[in-house]
Amino acid sequence: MPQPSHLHAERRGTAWVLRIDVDRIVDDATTDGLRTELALFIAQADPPNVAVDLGAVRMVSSAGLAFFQHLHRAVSARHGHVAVCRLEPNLRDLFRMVGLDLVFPIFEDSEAAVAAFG
Amino acid sequence: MTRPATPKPSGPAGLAVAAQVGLVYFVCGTMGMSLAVPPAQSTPLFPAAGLAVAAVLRHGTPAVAGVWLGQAVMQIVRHGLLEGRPTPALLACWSMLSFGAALQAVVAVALLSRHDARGPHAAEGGRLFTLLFLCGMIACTVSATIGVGTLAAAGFVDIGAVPRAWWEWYCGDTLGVFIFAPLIVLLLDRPEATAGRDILPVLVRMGVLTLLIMAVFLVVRRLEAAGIAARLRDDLSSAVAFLALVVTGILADRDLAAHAARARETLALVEKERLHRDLVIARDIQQGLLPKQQPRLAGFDIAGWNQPADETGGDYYDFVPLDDGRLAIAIADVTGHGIGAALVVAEVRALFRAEIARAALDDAVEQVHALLAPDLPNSRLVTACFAVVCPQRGGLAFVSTGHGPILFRSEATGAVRLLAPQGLPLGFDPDRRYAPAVELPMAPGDAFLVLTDGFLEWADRRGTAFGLARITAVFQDHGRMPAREIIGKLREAVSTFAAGTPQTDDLTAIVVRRMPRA
Repeated sequence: MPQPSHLHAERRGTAWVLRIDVDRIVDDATTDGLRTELALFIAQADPPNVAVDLGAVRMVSSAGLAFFQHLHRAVSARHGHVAVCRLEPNLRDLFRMVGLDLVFPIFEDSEAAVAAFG
Repeated sequence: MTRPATPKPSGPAGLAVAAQVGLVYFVCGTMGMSLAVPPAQSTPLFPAAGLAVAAVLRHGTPAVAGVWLGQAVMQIVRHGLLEGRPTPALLACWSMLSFGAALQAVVAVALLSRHDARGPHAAEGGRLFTLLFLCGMIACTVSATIGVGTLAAAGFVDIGAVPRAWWEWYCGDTLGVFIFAPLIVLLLDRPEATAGRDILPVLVRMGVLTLLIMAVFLVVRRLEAAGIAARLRDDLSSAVAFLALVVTGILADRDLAAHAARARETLALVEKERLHRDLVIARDIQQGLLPKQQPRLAGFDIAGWNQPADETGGDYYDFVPLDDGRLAIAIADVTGHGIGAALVVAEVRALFRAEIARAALDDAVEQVHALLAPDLPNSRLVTACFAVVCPQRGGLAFVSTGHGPILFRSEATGAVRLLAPQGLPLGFDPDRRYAPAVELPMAPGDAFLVLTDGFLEWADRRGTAFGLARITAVFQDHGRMPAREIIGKLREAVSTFAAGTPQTDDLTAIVVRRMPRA
């Protein structure tokens, strides 16, 4: 699978670990770039069970929420599941504040997230 | 007395002739191109075309090679050195243009020889001019057709501009042949004729024709310039911008390429100014939608505040008095900024005002979501907190659609807690429903604070965001103050923390505080 510049995918059994190498997802340009890369990844990810590693992400603004909406829709459309892991405390607060934890289960690390897919 | 036709050189002499013709062609051509106009860089007078005919007439094949060489060098010097390494397409273009120039001279000489068996060298001045006039007019279609056709095929000339470019090219070459071919032939082959009456008919006819063709050329060009100006004038709404355009000289200056560049810059500035003006209008409309004064509600102290980051922001807040004495409150953050976000803000405001006037809070929020979600373009989301403050029950109910932070401070304990949302942002998942509204009883002195994420994200010079912990601390420390002063303390704290870094997101806040016991 081709490796996009800000998303790095790694196959783990029946799931994928998708690492996001972006410090801040706070503007439309970053969000749109990630969405484009995500579309390429999702088109080839089979099965579409994805553990998103957010360890490198320090900040997500309201503009960045669009990326997670896209992620949710793209994976759901392929009957897959998404979990997130390695969230910094600020990001964990944000996920709970915005309700993203309702659709993206939060795990400490990628191993736990992948295990949750069963 | 006429001289016999010059013997055609060959071998080293032919190479020398080719080099000489090429050099002179290059010099004459470069002079002619100083008058060139876009798009095909054709010129109203191209002396090199006349030189080419005279040279081929005098020297034959070596001169043909010289014309090709001169034209090629002229193109390389004129364009290649200025525009960097030439592409294969550009090299092919230059080659074809050179081929056209050489073929044109060959055709002209072939026509001349066919119409006068003695050879044009033997013709008297008037006859020579007539021959060159007739043959030149026909032959000059060659270079114009090959040249403009090549440039059009390569995409350097728009198809719509081909007729005008062809005409200008043809005029320039024809004039060059009319004026310079007879003169060169007479000067080189019959110098005695230039001193006698033989030259007069040539000069008179050349003068008349030159003036005629120059006049036609200039009229066409002026009409073209006027057309460009009119089109630009139609595009420019501002009279000041048009004056600036005139000042730049589109009607007066002879270099249309420079005009076009200046006009484009002017147009870009006008567009930027227009966009800025539109944004200012949108901001005024948006600011006009915000509450003009703080609401009055028995037993409560309520304040709201907004400071957009751009001309138009994606935040808004609203207070809507209801018929039964309650007060509806809304605060929302639309992703993104600019006019797109402002339009969504206006729609959210209108929908909530309409729905809360006739439905319970839960139903109103579901309706807003159902109506709004199909209208939201991709990547546009709305986090919002809708609430209804009830003075009779001494508290409020709220629904957060992925909005935060929402904090509650207890007067009794001084503790501040973060309140969870009832669902995802509006538009995130159109099929999801929201959890029921949360009832929040408020004791005297309790305070309810809702902010947009501009407070959370505003970072200092090291890139550290203000964050939830600092917001919580400020609210905890100053939550006993009047609502307006609590917001003031938060503004002060975030601004001090940012230490001069620019505000990148909108800031909006609402505080609902139950009046403490006297």
